Amino acid sequence: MSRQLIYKSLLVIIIGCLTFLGGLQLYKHRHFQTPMVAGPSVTQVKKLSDYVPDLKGTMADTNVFFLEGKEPGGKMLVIAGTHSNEPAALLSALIFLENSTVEKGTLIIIPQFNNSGGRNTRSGDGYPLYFQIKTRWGHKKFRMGNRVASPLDQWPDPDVYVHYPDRQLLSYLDIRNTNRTWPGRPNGSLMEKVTYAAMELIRKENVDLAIDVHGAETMFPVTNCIVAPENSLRIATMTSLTLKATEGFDNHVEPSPKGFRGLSHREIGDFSDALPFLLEAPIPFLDQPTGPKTVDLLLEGKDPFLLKLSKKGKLFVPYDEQGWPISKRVGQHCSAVLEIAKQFSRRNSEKALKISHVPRYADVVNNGVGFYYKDPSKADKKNVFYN
Amino acid sequence: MQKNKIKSMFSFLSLFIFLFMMTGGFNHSQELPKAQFPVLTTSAGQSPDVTTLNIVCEEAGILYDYCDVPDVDMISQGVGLGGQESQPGFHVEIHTNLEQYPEGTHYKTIMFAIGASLKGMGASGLTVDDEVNRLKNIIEYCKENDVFIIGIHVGGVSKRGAPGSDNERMISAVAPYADLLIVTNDSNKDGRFTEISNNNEIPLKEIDYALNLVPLLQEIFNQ
Amino acid sequence: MSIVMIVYYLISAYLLAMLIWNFYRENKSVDKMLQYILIMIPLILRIFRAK
Repeated sequence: MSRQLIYKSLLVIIIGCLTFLGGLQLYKHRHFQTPMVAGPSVTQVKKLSDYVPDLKGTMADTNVFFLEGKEPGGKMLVIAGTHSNEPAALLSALIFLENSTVEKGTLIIIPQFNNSGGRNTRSGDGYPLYFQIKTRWGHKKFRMGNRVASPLDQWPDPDVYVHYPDRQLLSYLDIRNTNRTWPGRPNGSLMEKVTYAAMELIRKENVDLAIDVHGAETMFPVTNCIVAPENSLRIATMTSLTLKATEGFDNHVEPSPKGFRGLSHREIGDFSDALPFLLEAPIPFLDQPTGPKTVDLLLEGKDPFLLKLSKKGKLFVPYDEQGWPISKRVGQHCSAVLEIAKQFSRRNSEKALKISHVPRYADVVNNGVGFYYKDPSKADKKNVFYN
Repeated sequence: MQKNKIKSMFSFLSLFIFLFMMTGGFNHSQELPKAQFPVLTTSAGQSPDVTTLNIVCEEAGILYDYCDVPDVDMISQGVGLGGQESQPGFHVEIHTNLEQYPEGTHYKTIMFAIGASLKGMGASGLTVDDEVNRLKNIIEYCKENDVFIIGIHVGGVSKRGAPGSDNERMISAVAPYADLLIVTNDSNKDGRFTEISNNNEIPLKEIDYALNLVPLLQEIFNQ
Repeated sequence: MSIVMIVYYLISAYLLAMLIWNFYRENKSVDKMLQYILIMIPLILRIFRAK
C-alpha cells in the first residue's frame, strides 16, 4: 500500500470518527422523546395524519389531544411548537394538557406542531440541544428545537418560496416554517401538508378559537402582544385590557397585517370560520446581540448586552437585571389563553368554554413552571404519550 | 382692635373657602363633566389606541360613529359622515342609533384617542405635519360649533416621547384644547397632562388601567 | 418520489463521485484533501438517507 493511500485512509478514518461522534449527538437529539401525561379531561389522542394521510410515517406527523367537557360548548385549538426554539409555547401547552379540567366545550391541543422543527437544531448559533425544567419530582428534559423543519425531512429548498395560493414571494427558508405555510395544501411541501392538516382539523371539528403560541425577540416590535385580525380584535383587545387591569402585565394588541401572507393569524381566519390569535411573549435568547446561547439565557433571559441596550431604549419591552424568566413567559401565555376563552364565552354563551385547574400568571411565576408537570414514571402508562 | 382683627380674618377665611369651593379647588380632576350624543370617535396620530377606545365604547354600550382620518367637511356632515365608506387607508363605522339621531345630526361630542403611529399615518397617506394640521382644523371646528372635546391617552409610556417627538406633537395638538382629559397613570408619569390641565383649566381624570374607561365613559354619557 | 427528487439524488451522486475522484488524485495539498472529505459528508448522508 502506498504511503499516500495510507495517509488518505487515516484522514478519512479520523474525519469519519469525528463525524460519527458529532452526528451521534444530533441523532440522539432527533430521536429523543418527551413524555406527556394526558390529564383528566383528555378523551382522545389523534394524529395530524388523521386529517392528511400523507403525513403518516413522516417526522411531520404529531399528536393532537382532545379534551372534551361533559357539556357541549365551544371549541378552542391551542397550537404550540410552531417554532420549536420558542419553548414557552410547548411548556404552556403541556400545563394545559396535564392539568386542565374541561367542564364545558372542547379544548384541542397540539403541543409540538412542527414536529420536524422540534428535532432540528441550529448548531451554527451554538444552540443547546436540550434544556431541563425543575419539577416537584426531579427534572423534566426537553429538546431545544429550531424555527424551521429539518432539511432531513423536507429537502431541497427552492431559491424563493412562492406562497400558495396568493403567490407572494417569501424567503426560501420559510417553506420549512409552519408559520408561513398556512393555509397549506394537500399536495404541497411537507410543511404545507402540516398546515393543511391543521386547517382540515379546524374546519372538520368546527373550531371556534385557534390560538398559536409563540415567543419573539425583545428587540422586535411585535413582541409581548396578541396579534389578531379584524374579527378577533375585539376579544383580543378586551383580553389585553383585562390582563393589564387584573393580572398586572402588558400584552398589547397588534393588528394582523392583510398584506403579509402565510401566517396563522391571517390565514386561519381567511380560510375558516375560526377566530385566530397569535400570542407572543418576549424571549431574550432569540435576540441577536446577546452573549453565548446557553440554557441559562434560554430559561432566565438575563443578558448584560441586552441590559445595556435596554438602558439606551433599544428594546420593545421593559427589561432589567431580572431578565425575562421562563415562568413569566409561560404564565403570560396561560393567562392569555384562559382570558381569550373567557372573553369569547361572555359573548357566545351557547358556545362557552369552561376550563379549570390551569394556573394563571401569578401562580406560574410564584410556583415555577415545573410545579405543574406530572411524573411520567408514576403515571398510568396508557396516559403517557411521547412527542 | 383685637375683635376687628378676628372679624377680618374670619371674613377673609370665609371668602377664601367660598371661592375655593366655587372653583372646585385647585384640583381640576374632581370635575367630571357630562357629554352628549351623538358622538364621533377618531384618532389623533393614527395609533391603534383608537381601536381600544372603540371597543371600550362597545363594552360601555355607547353607540358611536368612527372615522380614523375625518376632515372638517366630513365632520360637518354629522351622523353617517355624509355617506362616506371605508376604503384602503380610510375607515368609517356608523353605530349611532339612527332612530334617535338621524343621519346628518351634528356631533355633540368628539373623542380623540391620542397616540402617534408612523405606520398608521403612512397607511392613510399622511405625514406627521399633515396629521397635526388636520387635528388643528378639527379643533377649530369644534370650538366654533360648541362640540365637546374629550382627549384620551391610554397608550402609556410607549405612546410618549421626548419633547417635539411625534407623540408629544399629537398631545400638543389636542390636549390643551380639550374639554375633558382622560389618561392612565402610566401616560401621565411625567405630569405633562396635569400641567396642561392646570394651565388650561381642563378637568383631568386619571385612571389606573384602560379598562377603567368602561365605567367612566358610562358615567360621562349617563349610560 | 417525484422526478425532481430523483434528479436531485442523481446530481448529489455525481458530485460525490467527482469529489471522490479528486480526493483520490490529490497528492500535494492536505488542505484540499480535508476539504474534499468535509464536502463529501453531507452528500454521503443525503444519498444514503441517514437521519
